[in-house]
Amino acid sequence: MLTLTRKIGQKIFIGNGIEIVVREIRGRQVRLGIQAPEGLPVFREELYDNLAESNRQAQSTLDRERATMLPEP
Amino acid sequence: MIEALSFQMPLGLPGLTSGTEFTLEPRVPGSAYAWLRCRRDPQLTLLTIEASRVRPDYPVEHVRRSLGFLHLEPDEALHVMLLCTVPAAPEPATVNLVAPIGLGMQCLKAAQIVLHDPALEERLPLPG
Repeated sequence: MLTLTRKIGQKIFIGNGIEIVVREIRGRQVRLGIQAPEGLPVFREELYDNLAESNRQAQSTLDRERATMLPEP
Repeated sequence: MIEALSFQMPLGLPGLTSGTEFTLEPRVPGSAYAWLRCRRDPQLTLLTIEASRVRPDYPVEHVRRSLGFLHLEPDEALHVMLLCTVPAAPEPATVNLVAPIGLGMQCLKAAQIVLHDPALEERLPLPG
């Protein structure tokens, strides 16, 4: 993993369209500003993990026989 | 109505695969349900359902706005699918309204997004 040191107000660019700036450091918390192409998903880790777990559960628990018999809505 | 088609998901499917080529195949002709399969890993199969058949007022335009990076045409038809979780009975079968898959029917590109809307359930029970 690439690790960079930045000060408040300094930025990181990812590719051509993503800009991350350190806005504020307060104790153990860092506020980041993120500018990305419109609609590009940007997730907090917790939200991404929740989505990934929900997807994994949908796949790993799939009862295909039951799925073929669910009534149409 | 869903038709069998192949499409790309440039960002993959979170938690499952970074594969980008998928197929969608109706469970039976005319069904609201369709099988979503990863072409690189055919074992990766999920059941999906058309969002509009679950909730006729599903926020399709919100999905469209969140898919800006796919560069859909303004008048491009958008197909919105929801992932179903169907464990063995008696556990309830549910559908996730929070994280739809939006598919541009012209560019044939799709992505899964997360909608921040308290009116949308993550585990809405499905009939049956």
